Amino acid sequence: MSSAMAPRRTPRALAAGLLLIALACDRADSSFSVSSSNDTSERLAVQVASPLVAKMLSAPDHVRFRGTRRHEVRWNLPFGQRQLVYRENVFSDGAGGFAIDPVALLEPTVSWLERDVFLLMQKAREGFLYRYRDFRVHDAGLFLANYVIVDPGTAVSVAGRNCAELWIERRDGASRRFRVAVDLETGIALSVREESLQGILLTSMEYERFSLAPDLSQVELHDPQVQEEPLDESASPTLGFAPAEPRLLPSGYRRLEATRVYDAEERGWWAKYTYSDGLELVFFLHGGERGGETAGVDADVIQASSVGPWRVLRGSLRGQRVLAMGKAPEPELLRMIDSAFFR
Amino acid sequence: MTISCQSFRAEPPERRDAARDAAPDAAPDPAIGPGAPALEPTSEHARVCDECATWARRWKERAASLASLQRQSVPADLEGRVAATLQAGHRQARAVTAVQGLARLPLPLDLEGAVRSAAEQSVGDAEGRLLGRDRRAAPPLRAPSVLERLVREELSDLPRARARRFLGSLVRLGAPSALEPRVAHDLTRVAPARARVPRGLAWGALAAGLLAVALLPSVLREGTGGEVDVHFRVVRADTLEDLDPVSRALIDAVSGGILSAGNP
Repeated sequence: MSSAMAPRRTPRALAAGLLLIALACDRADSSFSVSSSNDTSERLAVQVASPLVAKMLSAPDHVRFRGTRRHEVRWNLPFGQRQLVYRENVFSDGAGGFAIDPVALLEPTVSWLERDVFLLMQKAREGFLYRYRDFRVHDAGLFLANYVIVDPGTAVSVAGRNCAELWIERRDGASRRFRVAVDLETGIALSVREESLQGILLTSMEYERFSLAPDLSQVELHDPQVQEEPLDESASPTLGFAPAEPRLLPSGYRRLEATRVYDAEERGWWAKYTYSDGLELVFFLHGGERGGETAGVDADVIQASSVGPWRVLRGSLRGQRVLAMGKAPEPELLRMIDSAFFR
Repeated sequence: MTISCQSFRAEPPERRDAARDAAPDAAPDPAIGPGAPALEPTSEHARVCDECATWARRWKERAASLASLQRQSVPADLEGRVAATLQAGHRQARAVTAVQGLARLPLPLDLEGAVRSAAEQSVGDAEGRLLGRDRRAAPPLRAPSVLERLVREELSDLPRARARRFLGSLVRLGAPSALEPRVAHDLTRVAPARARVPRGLAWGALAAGLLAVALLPSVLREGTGGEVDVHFRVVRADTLEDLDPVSRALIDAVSGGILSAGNP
C-alpha cells in the first residue's frame, strides 16, 4: 500500500517558491517577528530567517546532493514500546529525481532474513519516504501561518556543514515540536529531532555524511510504479464514481493537490486528496463502490488505529470505500471523513 | 570363317604371340579342347587368311589405343565402403571417427545479433504481460540496488551468511511453565516483609485513587480529542491483532517500517 502513496514528480515546489517570494517581499526586511501566546515562544528570541525557509521549500527537489543519514524512531505505543534505528543513503539529482537506499538496520536486532526483508521494504517505500515522511516544507504560506519558527541564533555543524538551528512548533493544538538543523547554503534539513512537549524523543534523523553535486551516474533513481494523475474535471468521469471530497478539514490544513491513483490489484481508480498545514500531511482517499465492502471492515464502520503520531482510519461508508491518514488529531480526521459523505 | 579362323580368334593375338615365345614346345591350350589344332603363330594363319589378318591388325590397334588411355584413380570412399561391407560391426566406431574429424564451421556474422534481438523481444513481451503495460513505454525491469548489494554481501562471505541463516531460523525457547508459579510464590513471600503503611496515609491514597478514577474519562477524552458526533461507528484497534492487514501495512509504511522491523 505504500506504493499507492508514491507521488508523481510534479514541480509544485517551484510554484510554492514563487508564493514564498511574494510573501517575503511584503515584509520590511529579511526577517520578521512572530508573536505568540505560547510560553515557549515567549521565552525565546523570536527571529525567523525567511530566506532560509524559502530555501527549505525548494531544497529537496532542486539541490543535487547525496548523503548518509541515521534514522531513529522510539514510540511508546498502546501495544508496547517500539524502537527502530537504521541508516540509509539518499540521493537527489536536483531535478526532481531522487533515491533512498537503506544501508543497515541497527535496531532492533533481528535475523538476517528479517533484516533483508526490512531493507527491501524500505527501498520499495522510497517514494513515500522521500516525499512525505521526510521533514520538508510543503507550503510556505501555510507553514508560516501555522507554525512558530524560532531561530535562537545557535550555529551548529552537521556532517561538516554549517547549519542554523530552528525550533518549530504548531501555534495551536501542538502536541509535538521539532528541533531542526538547516544547512545555511542549501536549505536542506540535515538534522531533525521530533519530540513531545515533555521533551521525549519520538523520531530523529541526522546526516552523517553529506556532499553537493555528486556523480549520480551509478545511482538508480526512483521510478514510480503507481499510475497517478491530476484529478481534474476531465479525469473525474473516468473514475467510475463521483468523488467525494471532505468539506471540513483539520485545523490549519489546505488542499495541496487532487489526483487519481490506479489500483492495479482491483483494477480501479481511487480519488486521492492531499492536504497540508505547511509541514504535516493528511491524505483522504475515496475508492467508490468497487468491490463492495472494504475487506475486513463492515459497512458504515471506520476502523481507527494509530502508531505514534500517525493515524489511519479506514472503512466503508454507504458502500463507499474510504481511507484517511495523517498526523492530525483523530477527532478532526473523523469529522473530515464524515463531511465527505454526510451533509 | 573356318575352324582355323575360330581357333585363331579365340586368343588375343598378343597373348598367342607371348605364349608361343615363352614355350615354343608347350602342349595345346586346354581351353580349346582336345583335338584342337596347336596354336599357330599369328603371323602364320594371318599370312594365309586375309580376314584374320585384318581382325588381328584391328585388335592390336584397339589394344594399343586402350593402353594409351590415362589410368583413372580409385574413388576415395571405395576402400571404406568395401571395409564397411566386410566389417559391418565397426560402423559406429567409424562414424564417430568420421564425425570427430569434421571441421568446425564458422557462425554467420549476423547470427548473434539475430538471437539477441529475438531474446530481448521475448523478455520484453514477458515484462509487458507481467506489468500490464507496453514495454516500449517503460524501461526494462531491474533488480533494486539494495537487493544487488545484499546478494553481493552474502556472496562475499558465504560461511558467515550460512551461519546467520541457520542461527536466524532457530526457534526461540519459551520459559518453563513452572517458572511463573515460582516467581509468583517468591513475590508473595516478600510482600509480608514490607513496612506497614500508616492508616491515615492509606485513606489518603484511597481518596486520591477514587478521585483519579472519577477524572479518568475526562482525561482520556482530552487525550483523544473527545467524542466526535459522526454518522458512523468507530472501532478502535488497540492491539496489532485488531488491525486488519491493510491498515497494518499502511501504518508500517507511514511509520517507516517500525512494525515490520523484527517486532511481533
